[in-house]
Amino acid sequence: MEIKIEYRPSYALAIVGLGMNESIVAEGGAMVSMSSNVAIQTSRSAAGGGGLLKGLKRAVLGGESFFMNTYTAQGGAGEVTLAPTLPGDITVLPMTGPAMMIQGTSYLASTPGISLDTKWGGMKTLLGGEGLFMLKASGQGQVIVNSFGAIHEIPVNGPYIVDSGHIVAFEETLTFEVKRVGSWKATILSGEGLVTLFNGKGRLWIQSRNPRAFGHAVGSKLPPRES
Amino acid sequence: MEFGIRYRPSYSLLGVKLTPNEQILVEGGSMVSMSADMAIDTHLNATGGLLKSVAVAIGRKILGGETMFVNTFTAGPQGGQIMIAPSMNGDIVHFPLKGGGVIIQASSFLAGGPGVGVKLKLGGIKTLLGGEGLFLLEASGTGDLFINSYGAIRELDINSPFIVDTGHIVAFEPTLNFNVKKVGNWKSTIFSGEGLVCEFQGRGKLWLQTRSVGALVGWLRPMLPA
Repeated sequence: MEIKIEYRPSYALAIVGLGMNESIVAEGGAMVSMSSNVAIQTSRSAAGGGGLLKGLKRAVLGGESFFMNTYTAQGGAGEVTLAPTLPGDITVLPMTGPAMMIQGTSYLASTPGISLDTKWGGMKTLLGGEGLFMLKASGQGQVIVNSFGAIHEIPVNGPYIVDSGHIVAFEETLTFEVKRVGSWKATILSGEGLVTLFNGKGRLWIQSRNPRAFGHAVGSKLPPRES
Repeated sequence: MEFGIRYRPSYSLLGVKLTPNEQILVEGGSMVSMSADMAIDTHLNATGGLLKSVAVAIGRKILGGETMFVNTFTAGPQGGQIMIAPSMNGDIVHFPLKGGGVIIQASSFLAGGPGVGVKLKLGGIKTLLGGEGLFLLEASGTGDLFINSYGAIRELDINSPFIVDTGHIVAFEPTLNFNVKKVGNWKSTIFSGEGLVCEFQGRGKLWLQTRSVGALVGWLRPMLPA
């Protein structure tokens, strides 16, 4: 398998070259184009198995599309190209060591050796209120993540605070907790709300734009939705 | 205070290193990440009397886009680091203020370092006629000011009357006078798609942004489900 990322950083496209019978698992709706000999198999929880319940859990809690697709090149080599919804970058994270926590909307695709599970962090992740639903990726292979804006890597060593809407992924060696920022007044009025406090040592990737903040900036000027 | 701006121009990210106890004023909701011992204090985003700030803050909120509050972040005794980004895609530009002032469209204000004051620009209300939420702030003092744009920022030297769509204004020097007016005759105002514009006169620098949030909203509106 060969994964190339083109048109970085604003309109990144992942170009996945598959050898015969090789597969890539991708988020539903991410496929842009593919060779005609690539077969698509749709499942509710393609990566790592687990069936309906796991798929549901991921859809409801992970902020992700309900279905995952497995693309397999048949009878020869093939190519699949993948893109996220929002403008921004795509990065390949090679996985050989610690498991990786990936923010639901940042997951784009993974190689078949990667197992995905919804990391149920309890209410603390819900409290983030910014789609902080984490997928736990483990195993050997590659995970492809996307960002709204640029991806910026931060080597965390000790306590560090991040706005939840800017998190892309982090190594599981880091602990995290959702907390309020400053006093209660600051929590309510600052526009920063709840943040994520990381601790320990490991790599963290953030995105330079916050999808929710963008949505509010534009959405607040749109007419109300009639239901 | 040291700073760097990365990922320009589409997804600019401002990183600032503060010395012990140093402060930076940041538009509400713009903090991306920071040292864990950074203190945050929240206050209304336009100084000049409580009543006026409340009125202005609410006005800005109603017009959309802007937050009512700004935050002052203060570094701990070891100093600290903070990263800052606006909500829209676009650039961040550093304005070194040296005792003078600059007038900023409110949604273009991102952050001000020590020594930079930001207040409501008097007479800004007339710009309401622009219908595009053009609230103006005046930044002054000596220090580092950071503004953001939707799209790229274009700098112009103005020395004769010049017309700009209100939605594309980022900032201008106070040596420039401005008037909000209709473009062409009434037929043009209604049908040109340009609406009201801002006419600048005098000499000074003007900064424009290459995209308009109002235009994006106008494009999206008819696409919404009925």
